Amino acid sequence: MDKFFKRGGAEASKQKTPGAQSASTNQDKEMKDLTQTNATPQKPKFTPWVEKYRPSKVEEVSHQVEVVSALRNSILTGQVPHLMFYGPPGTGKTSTILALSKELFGPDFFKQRVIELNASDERGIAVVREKVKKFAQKKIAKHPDSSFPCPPIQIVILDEADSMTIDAQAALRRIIEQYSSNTRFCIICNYISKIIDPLASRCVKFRFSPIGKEAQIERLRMICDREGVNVASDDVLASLVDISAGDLRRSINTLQTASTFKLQSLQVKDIANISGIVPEETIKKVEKVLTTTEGFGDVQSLTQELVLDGFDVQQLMYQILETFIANEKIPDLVKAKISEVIAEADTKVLQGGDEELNLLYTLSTMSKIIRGQ
Amino acid sequence: MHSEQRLWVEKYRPLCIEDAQQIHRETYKMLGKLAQSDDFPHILFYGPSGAGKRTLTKCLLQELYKTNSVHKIKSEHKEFKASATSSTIVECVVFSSNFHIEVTPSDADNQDRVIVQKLIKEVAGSQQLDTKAQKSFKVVVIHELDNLTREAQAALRRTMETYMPYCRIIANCESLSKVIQPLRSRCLQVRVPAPSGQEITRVLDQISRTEGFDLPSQLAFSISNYSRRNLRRAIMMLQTAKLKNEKLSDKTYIPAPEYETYTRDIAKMVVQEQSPKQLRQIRTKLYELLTKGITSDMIFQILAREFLKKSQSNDKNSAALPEIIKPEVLKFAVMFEHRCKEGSKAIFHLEAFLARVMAIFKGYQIRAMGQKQY
Repeated sequence: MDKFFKRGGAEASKQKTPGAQSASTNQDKEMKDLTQTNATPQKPKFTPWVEKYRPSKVEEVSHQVEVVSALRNSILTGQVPHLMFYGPPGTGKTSTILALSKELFGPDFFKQRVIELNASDERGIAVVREKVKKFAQKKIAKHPDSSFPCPPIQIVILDEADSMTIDAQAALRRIIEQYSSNTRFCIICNYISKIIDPLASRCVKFRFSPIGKEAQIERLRMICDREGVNVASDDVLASLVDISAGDLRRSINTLQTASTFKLQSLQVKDIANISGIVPEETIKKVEKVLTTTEGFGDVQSLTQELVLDGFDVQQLMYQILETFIANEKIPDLVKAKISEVIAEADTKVLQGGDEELNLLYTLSTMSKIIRGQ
Repeated sequence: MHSEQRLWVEKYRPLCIEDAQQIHRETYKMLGKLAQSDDFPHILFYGPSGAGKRTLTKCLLQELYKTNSVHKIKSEHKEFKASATSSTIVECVVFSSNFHIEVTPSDADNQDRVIVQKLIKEVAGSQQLDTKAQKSFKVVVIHELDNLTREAQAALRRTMETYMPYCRIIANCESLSKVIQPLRSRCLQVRVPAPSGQEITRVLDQISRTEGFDLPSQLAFSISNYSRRNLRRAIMMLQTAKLKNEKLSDKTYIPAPEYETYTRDIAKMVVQEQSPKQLRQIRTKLYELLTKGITSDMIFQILAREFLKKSQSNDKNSAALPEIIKPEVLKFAVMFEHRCKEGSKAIFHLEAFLARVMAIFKGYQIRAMGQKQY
């Protein structure tokens, strides 16, 4: 797995040189790279755990029971339909298709049979036409000597397809049908609504749901064991999972970062420190100001302080909402109103609105609502 | 003589962790630890402007490679074709040392995706040239990550994972909410809060001592107040004040940036008179600001801050509005600011906002008058 990504990396850098104006200098550089790597032994390379512990078999994919059971059959028979995976980030979409192709083709043919295009490659309409077409036109035969099923197909993985232009997607329609005799497409996206209908209807759709707490903890514990990370208590893993809200990649990344600091054992507060959540005291302070204050000025200075302290406004609003919703003294109607205000501000901030103004408006409106005006 | 000409902001920027003990000590300590371990993650610094994100980046680079040559930076002008078929050329300036490159892809506006795809991938895909270097990876520093378009951010996603053996990304941004979630989850997010007023005065004091002049504590205090906890601005203000006056006293006038005073004037005009004529005069002023390259967000920010400021009854010059109408003004500020982001012509929304403020204020005055009469 590991090796593949390194080789893949070097390959990709070679691929993109044509067209770039600095082609010659780049090649020189690569030559140097090669000679140097030959001369000196390689330092141990650090790989992110996310890559290291990517499942190598479809069966190992966490949590996505339905997807796994559907694909199991594909592996046995070697019959793969066009696939579309959609779901929030960090739920195993890319991992699943990589694992599937590996199980189908085995390490020897994996590279020949699979092409992965993601948003970091240029994916305009021209590229889809040329690159995908060229790849799809290749003639391939079944390799009977392989120990893997290795059906006579090849797979085009279009990762992060929701960032493809509509035109490029439209260009794909015909290509998918034309080459369906020997090519399967796997379209991966976060939002299925961003994929044009004709494309979606050509694929078998699989929804990846956010990974549940138990499944995540299990996975994290496995990584902890293998990497020798000491965890103070089960709460640590639980809080990791809570913070990441179903995004397994995020929990693994956070765990890895946390493990670089501490050698003895991880505490809950270490996780809180690095994960970008707003500390409990700050939220308490906000709550206090909002429930007790009378004037506009207090909210104003509070907002300024929060913004200058550099907190992530969205995270902040989310946590404030959580606290107020958990507070049993506040009547339901007030909670509903607060949710509405926060939802509105969240959209505005997401669309590029000014953080300070929006936070100020949200907080001042909230304090008004709480005081019952 | 030459060193006199340098900006103090640059001159007194700490370049290694040992020097940077004034502010964010905990963060530096953490980064120092991190730089020594082999597992070095991608890093995303977030915090308001002037809090020290760039300084942190520089110190971190120094700590990673343990050599001063990371600060020997050459700038290079690069051009890229937007795509294989089109003839559009995307330009950007790249700063690089032997160990890292620094780019601000958002300079290329809508074409920033090209820079991410071409340049960053090119650098990220090749190995560290100097095998004797402390670390086996190179660093790509991306400034203003939050100003990148969605496409460019999406393009970074896989690059960050695939090329991790060769390359780490240190990005900085002002508002985290404009960075897409998948990128955030790939980075160690480090919050960089703005330094407190005390910390700023301490730094100013130190600079004045090294430069050899007297800085009255009262003045240091008011500079740190005016700077709104922005250290870069505070140091700039100090230097300007020093340039204009031979000797600094408690009452030395601290010049604010021109555009700020100008925008404040607009706010004052709104409070002074509410009429179409006044609005027309304001329009010319707004155009003046916009053509000088002051962004609409900045204008909105300053205007809103002026209107919502705590009012002091003795200050005739203040544009602060009465407490009672502040929430309403704020509501419209948020609304028009949002529309301004969605729309394309800033002037419409700025004017609409100011006209609205005028209307609210006038309405308040009429009501107040009415109450007095009866």
